[in-house]
Amino acid sequence: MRPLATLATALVLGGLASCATSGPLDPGTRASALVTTMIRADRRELEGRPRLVEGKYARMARTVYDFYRGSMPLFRADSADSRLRVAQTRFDLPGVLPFSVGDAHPENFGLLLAGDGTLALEPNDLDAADRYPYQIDLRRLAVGIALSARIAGLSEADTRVVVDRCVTAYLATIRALARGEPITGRITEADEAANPILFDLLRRGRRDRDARAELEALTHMGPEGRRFLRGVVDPAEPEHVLADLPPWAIAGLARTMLDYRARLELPPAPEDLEVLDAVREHGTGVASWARIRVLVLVRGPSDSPDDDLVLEVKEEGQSGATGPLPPGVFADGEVERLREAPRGAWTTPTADPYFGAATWVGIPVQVRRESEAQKTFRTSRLVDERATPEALGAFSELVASLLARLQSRPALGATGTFAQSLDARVAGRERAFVEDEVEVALEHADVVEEDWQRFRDALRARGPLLGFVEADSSPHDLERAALYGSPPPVAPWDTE
Amino acid sequence: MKLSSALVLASFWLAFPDGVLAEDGRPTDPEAPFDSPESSLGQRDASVEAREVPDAEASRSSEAVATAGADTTGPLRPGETRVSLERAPGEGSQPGLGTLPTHAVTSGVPWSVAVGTQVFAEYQLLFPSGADWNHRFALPRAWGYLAFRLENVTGRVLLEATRGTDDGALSGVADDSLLLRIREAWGGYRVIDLVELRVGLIPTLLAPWLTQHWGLRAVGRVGLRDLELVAPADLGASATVDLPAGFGRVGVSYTNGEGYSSRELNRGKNLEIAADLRPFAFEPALGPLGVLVGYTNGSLGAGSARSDRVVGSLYWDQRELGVGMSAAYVMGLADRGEREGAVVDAWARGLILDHLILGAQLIHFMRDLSSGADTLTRVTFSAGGLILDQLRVYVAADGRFADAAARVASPWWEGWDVRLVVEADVVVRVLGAL
Repeated sequence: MRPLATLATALVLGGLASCATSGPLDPGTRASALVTTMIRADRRELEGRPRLVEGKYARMARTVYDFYRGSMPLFRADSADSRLRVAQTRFDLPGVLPFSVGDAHPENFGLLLAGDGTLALEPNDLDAADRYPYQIDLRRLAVGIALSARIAGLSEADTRVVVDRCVTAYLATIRALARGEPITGRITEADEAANPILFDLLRRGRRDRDARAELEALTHMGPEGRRFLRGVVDPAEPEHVLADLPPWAIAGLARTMLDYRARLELPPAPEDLEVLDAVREHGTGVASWARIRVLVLVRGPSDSPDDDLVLEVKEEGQSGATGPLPPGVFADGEVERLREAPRGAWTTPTADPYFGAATWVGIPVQVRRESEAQKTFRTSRLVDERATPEALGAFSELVASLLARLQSRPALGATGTFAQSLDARVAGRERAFVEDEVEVALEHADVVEEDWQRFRDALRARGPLLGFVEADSSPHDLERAALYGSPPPVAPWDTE
Repeated sequence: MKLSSALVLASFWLAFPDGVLAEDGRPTDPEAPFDSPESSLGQRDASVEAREVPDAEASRSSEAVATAGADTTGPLRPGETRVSLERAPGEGSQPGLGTLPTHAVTSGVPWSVAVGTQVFAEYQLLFPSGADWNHRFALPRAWGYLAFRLENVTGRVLLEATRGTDDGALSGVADDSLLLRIREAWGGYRVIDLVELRVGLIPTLLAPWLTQHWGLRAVGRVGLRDLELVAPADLGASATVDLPAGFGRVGVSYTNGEGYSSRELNRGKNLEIAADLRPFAFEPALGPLGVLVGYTNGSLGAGSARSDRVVGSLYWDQRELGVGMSAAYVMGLADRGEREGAVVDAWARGLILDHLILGAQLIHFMRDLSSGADTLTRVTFSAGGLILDQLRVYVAADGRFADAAARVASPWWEGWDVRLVVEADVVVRVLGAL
């Protein structure tokens, strides 16, 4: 029995030792929860492409808003933690799961270039479009507005006013939709007069649309016609790199274009999508930093290089919607989910006529036009006349209205009766609803700011992958590895 | 020949007149498809078992499809081999009440090999609160396994079907196919027939033991498993000791802590200690009364989120009647080490006229002890019966309730389900003498 006693002793002592040496994070802290949640969400990418995830985490560490953009898994986990204000409401709608974009923070709204050349404000990131409890996206938006206001340097009182305007506009739109009142259509030039932020977007959008600025920025004319640049495109953005793709991957794009075209609402002529060149694009996005992103140069309406078109082909993942009502998923696949998303998300399904979905070398991908005209709201531009309570308040009303509208549309099996349901739930307590949501947003904005610091501390203490240990016992899938490419070094974020 | 073979097999069932305890009083293993043969059968002599089998009982047993050897009711002779197809006795020896498909490896013989399968198939009628009804076929369990014993060396490989991706996923490996993965793969050694050591992808202790006492795994999981607060298997090592005179078993395991579906993500290891005791084993009238206590010190994920559990259970566990309650103090849940909750799981089952099986289960989960709010509750009622030895059918109804706080955090929880559950399990056993 002596060996048994020895073994038992070893097990017990080992267990006790493990309690004392489970890593630098206190297992009962918010930092531990943050790291565990992020690693769990990024697990597959961490296993296959750790260098790309490293870049994502570095990007998230730079600013509080970048952290907010990249930490949607944490936001969702918080929304299921009843101890937190963000998981509490007096106005829940059990069993009601409207369609939504799934990550409605303000920097996911921007201009889309319609087929007639006009620009309109719409949600421009449909990666997570699916069906969710309504308050997830409402709060994602309101917290983002609160963070934006603080980034703009607004006082706490003004921040409260801005968030209040956001939620009030959301509820007003819901009530109008529930009562069948007319709602303004696309948000375009007509709305820019009293809205410095929208005006800024449209002004720059029109300028770059007319100049076809993306062709200037991303391509050059060579002996074979227009081709993409390679390497660092803009010295001011050294992480934004265009790199060669393997020939087989480029060859696969021809079939992808056919697949993509077949699913478009207004398909262009097949020859318009003839692939002229394609490059792997590194260094864009935050949450999607680690995803495979490819720029494809296609022929456009004529052989003239002046109307060549740049499309972005981006790897798609799961929406992240979990635990919903049966049947549990609301589309046959990622491609189908993305294909239907514009019907719900946009004022008109063809707000970007080139938005579509397909598969490429076996990967579900989103395809959309890459155009410098399609400007996105950025907190970094909240300066001068755009950094006032009035400007941010006016802009937040627009995006809140868009959110209310899209959640009220039938899509992905949602019936489109959400507005009536919420209106009935809130009836007579409208002010209480707004005040509740404002409090939640301000309180959770504090949480996000604290989490950002925790995240940075964790990166410093545990390394660029937050302590995740790579398991490199088996060789990578070489084809996948070729698609992941070699990302450029990420600029240091920790300059303190 | 056929009858005599069946006698041998029937004897295995009858080795557990009080359900989960072997004749020597040691409890059988729980959720595992079959488990430590010794813990259920001890070192009983096959010839002794055979002598105890009345013909009437033998005829109730599974059919033996093939045997080899002159006298299948006697002890194995050198070089003799016997093959049988049977309904897994499992926690068995309780037709209709088993959570284990089988004890695939037979003790008391020099060697044995068992190959088996267990399937739970369901038709589910779902009535989620506030939303449209739905219905679907589901496969909560599809297991295939192979186990062996050679003298004191044992081992088992258990495959299970699982979705290629998590629930709610639209695509994954081979889209959303059902795939096979390894749930258990371990080797073990039996020391003086009291201690069993296992290494590899092993079953844990608390979840399987609790499942065994509940007894109606096909109808539902125990609370801690249903809420995914403990893993049923993990990479590591374990040692279990069968207490003498039927007083129960104690065990310790030391595992990665991430469960069998993930590799290790932190430096911490899970230490699990459990004791499943029958304090009145010496008194036949009170023998089924048992108490189970357990403690897990663990961590989850790269952030080493605390995942500690303290579990206590009081139960009455015999073939005709099973009643029990367990309570668990949960330190760390949903990857948040600072969250503390509690789970209460109460159950009752009864076997009527040897064919009708009634069951009821209540799971109450308090997810935030600091506020007392955020509670989820599930109630299940079931009725079922034996169709064939290898086939059982149940009808189950579940009601799921949440308080106001939980309704917001888990808006999809509430509703009613009605399920038709079919449980099938078969094992082919080969045993012989060297």
